[in-house]
Amino acid sequence: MKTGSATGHANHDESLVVRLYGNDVGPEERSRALDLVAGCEECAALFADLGQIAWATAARPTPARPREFTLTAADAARLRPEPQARGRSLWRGLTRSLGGAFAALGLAGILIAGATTTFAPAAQPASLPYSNSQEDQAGNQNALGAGLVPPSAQPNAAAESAGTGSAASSSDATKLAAVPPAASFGESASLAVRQPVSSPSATRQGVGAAPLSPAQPSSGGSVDTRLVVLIVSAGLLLIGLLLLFGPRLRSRRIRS
Amino acid sequence: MNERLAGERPGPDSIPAENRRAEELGQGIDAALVEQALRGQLEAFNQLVVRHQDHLFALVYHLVPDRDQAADAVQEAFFSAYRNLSSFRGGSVRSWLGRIAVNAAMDIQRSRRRRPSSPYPELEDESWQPPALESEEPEARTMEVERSRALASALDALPFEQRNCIILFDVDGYDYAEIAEIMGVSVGTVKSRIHRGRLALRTLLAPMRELFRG
Repeated sequence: MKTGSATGHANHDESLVVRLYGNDVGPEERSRALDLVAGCEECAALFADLGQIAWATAARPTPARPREFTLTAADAARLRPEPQARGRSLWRGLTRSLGGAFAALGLAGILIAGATTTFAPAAQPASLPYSNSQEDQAGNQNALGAGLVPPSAQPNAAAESAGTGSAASSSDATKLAAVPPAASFGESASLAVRQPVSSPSATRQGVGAAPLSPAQPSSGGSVDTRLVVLIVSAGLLLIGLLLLFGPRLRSRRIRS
Repeated sequence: MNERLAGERPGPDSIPAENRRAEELGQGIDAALVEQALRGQLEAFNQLVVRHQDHLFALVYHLVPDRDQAADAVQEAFFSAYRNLSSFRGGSVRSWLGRIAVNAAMDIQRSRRRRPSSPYPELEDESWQPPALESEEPEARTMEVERSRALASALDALPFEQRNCIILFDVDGYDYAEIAEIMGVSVGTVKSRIHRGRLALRTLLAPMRELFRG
């Protein structure tokens, strides 16, 4: 006697019946599924529908094959990779990976050199020796002239000029406003940052008056290294880009 | 409790011995042809094409119900097979070619999702072989057309992963493990897709149930 009530079927596991149809049940599940199909009208209808739909799916007509798919000798020649072509593609792969590596290294080098140039002066002023040399003062004046010294630091610089009275007179200071900044932005900026630290008294007494030599750059002696890193990185980036895009540009030019 | 119900799909153990022998013989021929093709004999590869082109076209056509697109996919599959012949690692050439063809069909399905085409082929067309409409009686012919259209529409409404699994299982007779290999997913995923797809198909076709109850 089959039970066909909706409430009875609602408790039945339909997926078990579907898996029974797909022959995807273990012995115990199979027994339960067979009980469902034998005892429930809905489950039996589901099982029958699955069979009919699968049969209709398999019986769907297929149109005649519109053409032969055999390969011609020309197809074969086009598809079979020749040893020369294989070598060429190997070489292309090598240049591409080398180019990528060079470009990445170059870019990283430029970024690192750039980052150290930007952040180093702000991090180093405390460790730098005070400088009272004329060069340094001239640099300060240049910074003033270029408007790089913050307004709060400018009275200090004026006081220093007045106190020493040797390096720059007040008329010089007015002239300096017209002098173009000789130092690079990095140097001017570093000097501008250092300026507020030096006190007039210390300057007058000549404390830490050892002058910076030209071989000893103002930002801790690493500018030369940074410059080298920057140049090498730029070179690497250029080589990398050439390796990456050079062959493509060449082939495009040949095609056009 | 091992009796089988009428309509239940036969398991792999129930394949008749003669069929299994014929399959093994076919695999031996395929393997020899692959060997010859690898030595550069185009004729041998073309024999493989001739042996499998009908099956592959039927398979792809059920996945991509557009004759021209299906033909393009099959041609592309044979090109790809020729190009990658050296990567064939033994086993069933039929499954290997099937996998390549299904991948080509799936590429087309993905592009069709962006640019949908009509899933209703004209069954009255002369080019169907054997003729799509078997019955001579007009009423029965109308019913066949209706059934085929309803089924095509319902299959088209399924997610293509479910549809592909159902077609590979019901139409082409691949087993779960072969479909898993072809689709590049686990056997459990294939089973789940087939079972869920079957239930969805039944729900979609419920209003037209009479068309399917002979």
